[in-house]
Amino acid sequence: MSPAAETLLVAQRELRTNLRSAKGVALLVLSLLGGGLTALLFAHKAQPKPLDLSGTTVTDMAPALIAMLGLQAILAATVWLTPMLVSLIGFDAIAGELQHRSVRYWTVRSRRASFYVGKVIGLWAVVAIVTLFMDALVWLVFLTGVKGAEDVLKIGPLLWLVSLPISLAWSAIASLVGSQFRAPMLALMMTWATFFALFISWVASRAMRIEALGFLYPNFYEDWMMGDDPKKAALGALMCLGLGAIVTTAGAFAFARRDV
Amino acid sequence: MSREREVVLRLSHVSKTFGPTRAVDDISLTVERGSVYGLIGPNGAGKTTTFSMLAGYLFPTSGEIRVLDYAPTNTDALRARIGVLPQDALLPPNDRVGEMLVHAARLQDVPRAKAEELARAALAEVDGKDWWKTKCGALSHGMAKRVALAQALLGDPEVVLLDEPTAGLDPRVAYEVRQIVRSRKGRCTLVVSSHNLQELEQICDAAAILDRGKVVAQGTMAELTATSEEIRVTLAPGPVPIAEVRELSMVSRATFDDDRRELVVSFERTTADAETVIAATLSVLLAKSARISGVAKGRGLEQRVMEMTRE
Repeated sequence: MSPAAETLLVAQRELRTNLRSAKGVALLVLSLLGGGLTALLFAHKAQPKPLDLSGTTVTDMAPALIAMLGLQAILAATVWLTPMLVSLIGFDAIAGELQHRSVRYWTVRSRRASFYVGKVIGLWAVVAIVTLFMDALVWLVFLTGVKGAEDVLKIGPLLWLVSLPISLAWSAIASLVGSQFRAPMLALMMTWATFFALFISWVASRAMRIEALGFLYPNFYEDWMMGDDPKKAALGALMCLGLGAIVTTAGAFAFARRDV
Repeated sequence: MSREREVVLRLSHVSKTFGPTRAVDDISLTVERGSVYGLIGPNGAGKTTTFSMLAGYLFPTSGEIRVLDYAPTNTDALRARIGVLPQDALLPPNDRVGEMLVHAARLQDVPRAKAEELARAALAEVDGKDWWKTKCGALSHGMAKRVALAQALLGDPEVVLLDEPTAGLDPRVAYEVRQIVRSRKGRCTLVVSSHNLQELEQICDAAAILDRGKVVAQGTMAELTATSEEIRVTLAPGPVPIAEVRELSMVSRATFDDDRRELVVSFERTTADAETVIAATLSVLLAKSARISGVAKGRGLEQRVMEMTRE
């Protein structure tokens, strides 16, 4: 049996298990509610009238602030929610199996590396599907509300496509960190700590104007991929996919050499 | 080399350390094809660590392990040829029993069309065909153990490793699991790690006794229990004609334990077999009106283990 076939089987199981688990369903519903409500609020408030930013509190100004946001901004927010989604869905994907030793039922039947890569791909697929549902709801709201079909169909799918390499990279990083621990909660905390450290490196890259500092932060590539320069967009996608591939390879290598 | 003599599992000078703790210390043993081999020892003896290295879960710190002539972690070569029942691995709680077994079969490279058939057969073998749609998380301990056993037996593997197959089970379920294991005897090579010495004595052909990470004794069950070197006769209160027993030509030594009222008769395996010694000894005892409560060959695995692993 080829490693690819093993990986596919593990990824399929991961997808199936996550999408029907209580945690998976809850996250899907919350994501849909969040995306849908934000979009509805925007559609309701975004009337063609001058913006009123005279309020004294954020709550007062919320309708105007929401009105300032565009479809692109709301969808971009879903891209920025990706790390949270990845960490919440994937924190126990490997750590949970290690803690309860269920992994032992699978590692006698599949290569460790295939198991690991299957887990990463499965997590990526779940996040991609949840994001797609969330985005699709936003598209739907905008299509029936304030935006024309042309705008929605142009920006919507593009932003979802941009989220794919980004979520792969986040999934790879979360899996690498999570697989180092047997306790899922510890895995979650360390994943968040790692994500935060990467975020700080991105903030530093902006503040210090040293672009390379942000290369390890997957959302860094969003600007490149959404820009007007197709070469830079392609490079951004490749860099992001490459980051995901390198981190996944490192994780698979380490997992294949550890005791389970 | 005959098929029966073929070595299918070999550990050569295997050690495993966890930090400063040496859990397994320079173990060497071999298991022949078709045999049932026991790993015996008290808690902390290194049974489960040895078992886990055989299954490829743990990497040895030093030494070499070969399973069917491959390293245990060579999954591609061993896939479907080795089945493992881990001691304390939880079944995936959100999976239904059927889909868990089908997934296991698919990973064993069984085509989708045949995977369900195989999974159902394995589940039927452990008497669990009604659990197909039950979530693994909803199974009782005994049911979960049998499902775990089903995944180990899936696809008739050549080598089956069972770690504490009856631990924590009520006597009835434990009996049923033992029957399943017995039914596999001769169909594959079995390695059983267990605390239940009576169980191992009944089903094993050979065993290794481990203590503090080392093999302190190994051999066939007859060798370990000295079934061809001594007999034990339990006597009810009454005469104990020990001098007459000692006079028997094949007897090398005879002792009587007053507390246990047990007469232990030792003999050279080259001069007589156990049955001959039993017949001669009982004749003497009956002639002297001794009241016989029981007769056993050897010293019992439990006693042997107690001797070998005492503090």
